[in-house]
Amino acid sequence: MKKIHIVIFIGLILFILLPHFTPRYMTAFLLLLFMHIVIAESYDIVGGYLGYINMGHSAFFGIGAYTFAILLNGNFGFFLSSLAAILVGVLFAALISFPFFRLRGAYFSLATFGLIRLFELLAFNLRSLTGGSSGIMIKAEYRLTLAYYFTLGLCVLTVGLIFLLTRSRLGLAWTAIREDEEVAQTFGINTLKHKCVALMISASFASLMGAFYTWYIIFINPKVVFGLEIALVPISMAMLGGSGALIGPIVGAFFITIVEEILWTKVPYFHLAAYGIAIVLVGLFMPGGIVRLKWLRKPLMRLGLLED
Amino acid sequence: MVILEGKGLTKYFRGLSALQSVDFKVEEGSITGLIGPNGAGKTTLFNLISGLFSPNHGTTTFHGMDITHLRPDRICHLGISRTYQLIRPFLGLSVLRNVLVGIYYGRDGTLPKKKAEEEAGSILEFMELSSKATYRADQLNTGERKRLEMARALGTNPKVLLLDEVIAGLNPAETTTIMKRIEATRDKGVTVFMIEHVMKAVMGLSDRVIVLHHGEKIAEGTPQEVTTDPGVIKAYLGDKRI
Repeated sequence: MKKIHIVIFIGLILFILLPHFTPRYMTAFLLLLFMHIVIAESYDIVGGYLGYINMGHSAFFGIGAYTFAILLNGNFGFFLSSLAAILVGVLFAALISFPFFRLRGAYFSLATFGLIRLFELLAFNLRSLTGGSSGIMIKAEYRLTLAYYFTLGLCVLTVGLIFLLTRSRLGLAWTAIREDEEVAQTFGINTLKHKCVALMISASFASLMGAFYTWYIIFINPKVVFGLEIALVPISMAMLGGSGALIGPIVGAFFITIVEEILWTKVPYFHLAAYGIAIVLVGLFMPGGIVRLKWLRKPLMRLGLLED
Repeated sequence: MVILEGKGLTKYFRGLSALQSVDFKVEEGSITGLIGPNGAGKTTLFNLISGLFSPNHGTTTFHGMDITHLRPDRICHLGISRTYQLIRPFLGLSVLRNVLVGIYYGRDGTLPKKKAEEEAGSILEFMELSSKATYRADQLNTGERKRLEMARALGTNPKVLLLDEVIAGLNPAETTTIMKRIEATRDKGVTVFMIEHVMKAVMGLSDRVIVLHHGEKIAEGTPQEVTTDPGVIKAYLGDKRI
């Protein structure tokens, strides 16, 4: 076993034991952090490996959240509702991938960005289904600890699966498409199929996260799940940490979640600026993200956390 | 036996005709050269064969099978692979992974991981790139990138290899290396169809040469026949009288 495996193992045990020793605030904070990691990592499948900046990634989160809430209130139970949340998210991803992946570059980003606005409006106006602006309330219970474990589990699953996927044949096809889509196609890669699969996998994590989040937070409305705040989470975190590297979005999520937490306890609403500031800083000083900074790159590569 | 054949291939870009009813035949196991002045339509012809463009008229057949409107990835699976004139390796990927793309996806069946990596190793050795296997493609120089282009194409285990100016721009030593590799590839039974400006290479390697000018085929034959063809001389050097 390498050093890094031991570190990960100890870290995991620490996170499993933590809720029993720390105040609830800490548990809630870590839950938020893990959620951000899940969203940022799953975004990065399409954003970092496939090379398509998907600004509407949070639409999957929202779809999962609403599907879960509606079904749970319809007495389908936790398990079935979560499953349905994944299914609806994935199906939707498959559906939009055909028109959307005909677009490239900024056009794709803009189209996906339009998607979340569309869903926000739909959620506001389909009152009979979504409750409109008053949102949906599910049965309230104290669920912090259990929700923490679910989110931690999903976080580990997401990172682990992405680790395996990006080292597989599928990941090779994604990066080939990112580097040069036309050439990738002349080398036998069915580009549309691979882009579609990437978006579906990416959507599955985000929509399940949406379901877990709803279960934990009890109340959702269009602003919470389709709003700009959650929409900026994946992009800013993945970009700040380093897109296209497994550890990048994790670093970004740590960084922004902590900064945000400090800021919003000091100056209300100022925490929203953290996303914007992160994107500007990345663009100005570290286009490859934190993990690709000169002085960090080498040590990370030696630890096997970053590959070139 | 004819392995690759084009009949009446015509391609317009808006009003501009890039190719006008071009016929060509490539014999199995041969090296066929494709020459012509800049803008003659050589690369366009390759783009039609590899499925990147669809011709406005005409057909391409491979082993007698119509492949005119197949998708590029299907054409690659059938056994036609190519390199790009404007050298386009996957710059962010390592040399080894570049070749693995061809091996994993360019073939009709699927190879197990171990077999694929062995194969990639032997192709890299063949193209004299073994020492650079872990380098990222953007760390290579032009000569190495051109060899990588060819290595990636060989990874697909092609029956026909389309080489788009793999020699132009190389120094004499590199030119000799790659010419030997092209010959060795042919000796393995791969049919080579190559665009080239370096006359030494075309004339030295080709069994037959096709000449394009302004989108039309103006000559075809052995290197000797072509170089003495008055039409070809006119296209390259102009008319005697001004």
